[in-house]
Amino acid sequence: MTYVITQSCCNDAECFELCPADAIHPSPWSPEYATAEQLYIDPSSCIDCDACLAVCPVDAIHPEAELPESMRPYLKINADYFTSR
Amino acid sequence: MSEHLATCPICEVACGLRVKVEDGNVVGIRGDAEHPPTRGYICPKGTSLGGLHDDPDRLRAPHVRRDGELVETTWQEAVSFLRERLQPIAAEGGPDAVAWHLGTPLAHDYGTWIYGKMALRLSGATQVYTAATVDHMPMMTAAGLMFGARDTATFSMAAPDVDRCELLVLVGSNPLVSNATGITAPRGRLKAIQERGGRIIVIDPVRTATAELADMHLAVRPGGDAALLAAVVDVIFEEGLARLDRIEAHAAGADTLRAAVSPFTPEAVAGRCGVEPQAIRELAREIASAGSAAIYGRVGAMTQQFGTITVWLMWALGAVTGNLDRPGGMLFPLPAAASHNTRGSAGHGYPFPTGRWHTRVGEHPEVLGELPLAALADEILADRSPIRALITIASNGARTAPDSARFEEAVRHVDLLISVDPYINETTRHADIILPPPSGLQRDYYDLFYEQLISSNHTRYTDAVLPLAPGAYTEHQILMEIVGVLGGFGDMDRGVVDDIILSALVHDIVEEPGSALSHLDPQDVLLALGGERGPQRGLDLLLRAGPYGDHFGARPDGLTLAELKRHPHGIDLGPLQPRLPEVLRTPSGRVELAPDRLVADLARVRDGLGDDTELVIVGRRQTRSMNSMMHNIPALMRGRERCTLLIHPDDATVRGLVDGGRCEISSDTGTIEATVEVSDAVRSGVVSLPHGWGHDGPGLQLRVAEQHPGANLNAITGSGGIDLPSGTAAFTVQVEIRPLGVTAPA
Repeated sequence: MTYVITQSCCNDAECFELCPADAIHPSPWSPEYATAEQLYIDPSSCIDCDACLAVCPVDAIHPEAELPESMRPYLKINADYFTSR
Repeated sequence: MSEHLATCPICEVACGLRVKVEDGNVVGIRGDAEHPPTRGYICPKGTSLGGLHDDPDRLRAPHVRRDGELVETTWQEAVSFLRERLQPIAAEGGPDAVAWHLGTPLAHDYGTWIYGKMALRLSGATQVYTAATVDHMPMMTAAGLMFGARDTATFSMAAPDVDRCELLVLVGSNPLVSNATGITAPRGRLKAIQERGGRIIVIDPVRTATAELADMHLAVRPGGDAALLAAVVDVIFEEGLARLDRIEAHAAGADTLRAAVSPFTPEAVAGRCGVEPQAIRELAREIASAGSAAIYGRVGAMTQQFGTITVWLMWALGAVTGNLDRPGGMLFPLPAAASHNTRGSAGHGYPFPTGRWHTRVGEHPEVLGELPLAALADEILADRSPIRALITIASNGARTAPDSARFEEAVRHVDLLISVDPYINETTRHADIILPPPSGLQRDYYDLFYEQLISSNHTRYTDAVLPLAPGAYTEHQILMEIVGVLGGFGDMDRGVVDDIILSALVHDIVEEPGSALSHLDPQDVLLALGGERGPQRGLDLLLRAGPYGDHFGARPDGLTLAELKRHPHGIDLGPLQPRLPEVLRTPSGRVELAPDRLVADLARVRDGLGDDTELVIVGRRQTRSMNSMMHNIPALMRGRERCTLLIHPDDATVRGLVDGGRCEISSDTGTIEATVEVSDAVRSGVVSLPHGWGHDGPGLQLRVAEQHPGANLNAITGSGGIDLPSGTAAFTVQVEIRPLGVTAPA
């Protein structure tokens, strides 16, 4: 199981700040951040602790099991960000 | 690299953990998916256990005060210090000269829970103050009066059957943030209720994260829960919806209950509760007509003016709607360690213990052997107080007891302050000696307290993950040393003290009327427990004497500690089952639906129905905080400031407060400053500030926490009073808020 960042992500990065598993990338201090369309959660690192979802200002984050149908593609989009690196 | 199974000792859920260790360092912590109660769940606090262990501010050796300063010393010196300073106080003044403040983490320390509580009993200690009277004593009091109790070591909790209920009503509880006991792995478990067609109702002044997920949120005014529940019970009776079903033969007082709640009609309480009469009626009807309903309340329901009545009425409501002691409703756990409700004679017990002694100031009665923590400062500061020493173990009263200024005055005043704690915090900075225990990863774990609250029966023992530093004292060794000094044992080997306490524990169980071990000779039981000193023998005793135990030979396949150790993920003991009437330990052998003491206390609720206080402050749970103790770990202190004052937009506007601005919060007790967070999650008339902050002032060794000090809620509490039946502090107080820099009108 994992959590998934979806379309409305505004790169606020509060989630990045407090993820205890360092599962959210890119870091605001990395060069990639400037051109990233959104932030992504690494499904192999995520511990399902809910901390990111709780602070997202735009409700962009969903647990995998609660992804609305229209957002299902984001499961792969998040995972792909990490396999391509 | 090695992987170890462990148990998180931070909050009451006690999540199963997998800890990866390399070269003596923790390199990763995840949940243990094979731990049935928590199913792999972990929150940010649990992932930070390595950070706690490595915290440079965590003390690794005792610190003693010399020439006004706390300096590091050796264990040998620490022991000499105790003998020189504590022993004469105990010898001259007896047990009344020594007060105890025992904190929340001890509920995770099975050794201190078993041996410490027996030692207090043997020593005749009456000045015992614990976290219970700033937290859950209302639950223990209501449980004791309704179902029977002996002391605070064990209790009979009617736990919500979360996995099978059709309706879950939460009163002052926010599982999505607190991961409340029994509702662990909260998001999935709560959603499952809705997915099977059920509903969740949240009763809370604040629209918490759990309230947002729920099907309905009733924004009750703080302290209005008791009146609200009384009205709900009244409607149940008035509309002919009451049904005791199977428990009718085992319950007493239904008629008394009916009469007692009759003045609390929905119309009579609506103003005080802030909930419309029609909504109260609909709530009652929904609970009565649900296929099964569980009602659960926690800190919000308990740390308030009428906490005990609130808990009583939650359980009484379950009883009169046919939901007590049935699957899908509220059931009593059957914990593996022998508890008062599995010991002695099934279905019978002793009168609820209270009032055997009182505080001098205010004459507050002891309840289950404990005095109100809110009264400790006054007791110490009273003229001719007999208290000359205060021993704090895992507690930080300067931030968790009401009226911090008075509490700190008291700890400065007492002749001798001994603190068992890993930090130099807001309380221990005044200590004459600090004795640090090992870190959470350096000790073994058994869930003695929480297996009594859990919503599915389970037992688990996990070993320490990291070794002790050479020469370090364990909690048990520290306890034996303190008890040895207080007991006048001089230089006698502290192992003998261990043997004496164990012997008392054995005799207590074997000689109890109706004991399952009554046919045994206590000496044989002692022999069977072996010669290795330490807390494990006490745990083995309770497991073997318990309902799944081997009863020292009578049940050869029964549980022992040795057997439990062969199941490091724990043993699933199955879903909760009906336990009436054998669980009862009331004198009558019945569920007391209307205990005299609580019926009488309804008068206070009735007197308060006209209360229309303008603005009150409540606390709130935060995932990355646990009382005052987690704020020194960098990984948990990232992100935005979270010690903010939540205030409704209307209340903010009328006071000239802006989101992100600073404000001054004042009460009768004091004034603090905080950052404003405007939000319509709180109802108008209510503001919220999390407790456990205020890491400021001289002498702290909390370098990370001091970077994020926050505001101390307990600097302004104290005038909230006490819930009379339980002695629990009521933290809700009336406040005024001003933008910083604005002076109050003359």
